[in-house]
Amino acid sequence: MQTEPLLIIRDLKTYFYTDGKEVKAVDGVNFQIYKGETVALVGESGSGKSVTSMSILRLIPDPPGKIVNGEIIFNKLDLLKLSESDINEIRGNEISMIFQEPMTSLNPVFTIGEQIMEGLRHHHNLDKANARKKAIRLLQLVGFPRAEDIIDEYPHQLSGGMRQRAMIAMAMSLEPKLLIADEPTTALDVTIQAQILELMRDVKEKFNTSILLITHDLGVVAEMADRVLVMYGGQIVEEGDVYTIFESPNHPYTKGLLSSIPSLNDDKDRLESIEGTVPAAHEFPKGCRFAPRCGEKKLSICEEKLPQLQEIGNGHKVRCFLYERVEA
Amino acid sequence: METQIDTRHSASKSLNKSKENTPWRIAFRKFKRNRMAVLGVWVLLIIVMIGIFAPYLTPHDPEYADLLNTNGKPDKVHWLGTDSSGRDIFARLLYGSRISLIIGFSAMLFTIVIGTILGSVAGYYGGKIDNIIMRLADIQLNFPFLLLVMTVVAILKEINILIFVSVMAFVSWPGITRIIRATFLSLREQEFILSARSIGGSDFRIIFRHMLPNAMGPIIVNATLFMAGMIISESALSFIGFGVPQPTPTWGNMLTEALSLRVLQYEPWAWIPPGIMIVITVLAINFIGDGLRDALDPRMRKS
Repeated sequence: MQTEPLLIIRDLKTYFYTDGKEVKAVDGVNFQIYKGETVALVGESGSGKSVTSMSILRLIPDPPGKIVNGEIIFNKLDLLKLSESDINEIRGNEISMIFQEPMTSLNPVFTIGEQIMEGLRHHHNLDKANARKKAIRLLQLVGFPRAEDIIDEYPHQLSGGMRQRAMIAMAMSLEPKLLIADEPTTALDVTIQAQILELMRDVKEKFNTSILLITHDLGVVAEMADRVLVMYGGQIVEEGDVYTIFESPNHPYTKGLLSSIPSLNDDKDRLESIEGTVPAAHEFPKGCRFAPRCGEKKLSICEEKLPQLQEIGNGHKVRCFLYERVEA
Repeated sequence: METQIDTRHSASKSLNKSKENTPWRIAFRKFKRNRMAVLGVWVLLIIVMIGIFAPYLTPHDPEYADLLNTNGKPDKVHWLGTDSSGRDIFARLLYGSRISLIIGFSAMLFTIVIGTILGSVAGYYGGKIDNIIMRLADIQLNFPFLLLVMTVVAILKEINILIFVSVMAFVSWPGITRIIRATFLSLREQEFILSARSIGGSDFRIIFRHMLPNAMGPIIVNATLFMAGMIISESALSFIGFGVPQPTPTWGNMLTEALSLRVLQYEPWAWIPPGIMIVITVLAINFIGDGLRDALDPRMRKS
């Protein structure tokens, strides 16, 4: 493993305050991302993956959201302590994002070129002609054959996959050190998904960018990730490299997730699923947050105390009493 | 959809095909298809021309009072007769379009500027700032428009066009502010705004570079309709004597003549023409506004 992490998140807590209720969307998350590494953040809807990613760039709408605790150290800088104009320098320049909906994440009244060039001119002070040249090169890089034409087209003239490519070109335009991709393939159909993933891998190798990949698609995870973080109820419940997670998952939730992937080899009539749904963030159970849905033999302590994230071997961490006992 | 096909078609032919397909081009093409709106543009253009070339269209000075020839009937010299102070009505009618249009336009512009700035700030930031601005707007909306203008005009000793326009803008900003705020509230939630923030756009940049162009549709439409409203307000105020003072000719203060029962009954040439001019102008502008609304409305873009 590399020595110096690019991004360290320590005890991040992002809460939302609505109707006088405190909603703990992200509750004490810790992880690191090393240089050139792809880390996947996996979990169901509402598990806090997107909020975690938005917290990194401080894009949480405030009010109602607030980062109440934690440190986000990027390149030795604590992002949570920066002024608004300093964080603006980081945004796009050092860390950039790709969003889920390629249909709505491009501004409809500007051409693709204008939107790519904006970052270049704003952050790198390129003049118009140079910015345009660079934008065309970026569009070629993300696989547009007619980049000189596409640059003058409006978002509504492109298809979903093309827009997502354009978004990636935009995100990579400033050669950021970290790319946060928030479900980049969810809105695309399967053939395009594969192309976009391939593209992201290429781009990553070219610029040696680290990627934080947020997804609920385990197929994407297997394809892309070096390391996997499984989130449940605003907390990380299991962490490990991609082989460990897929081959020997330990947390009951991770097991559940993996067994609910439909398999072509099994002869089954029904798909596996995890009973129940994620509890709303303001009514988490007192003990382990997964306890009410846990399929494994529950211990009495599960419903009373919150388990801690424990290392059980070589970077593999689990938040579950079943394994804590073994340790002790 | 038709436009999409157009693009693919011409893509093979020319390189600058996207020049033909900017959102403004599409809107312009749709506007052209609306006959009433196009008619409105022509009518308005003619009225603007009349205002500009008024000195060449009549030899008379609209402010010269010929006291020996008051309330004259239409004849070869005075095509529409003279008013109660002996001023040539035809000349006043032509010059009046200047004042009415200038007031309508500048009052509109002034209001739009105030409304856009306040509305976009309120809509973008929300929270306390939004609350303060919108409560001010509510307070403002509680006053009847005419009454407020009358009061302010009555307090001020001297009224010129600039002051008059400022007063009108000052009392009518809440309407446009609300519209812009509503537009910004929905724009703020769009993902491309988040994406603009994620590449490091400052608030100022996001409001004016990213959001405002998206709000241009509603702004332009409302500006147009607002201008018609301003011309009517000017006429109404001038009619009751709180507008631009005599002898400066405006269509509104020409109508004042009709306050006299004798003029109303026996001298229709003194008040019907300015009335007609007001109606035509306002109608033309409203048609343009409706045409713009249809052309710029994104929901109708697909048709």
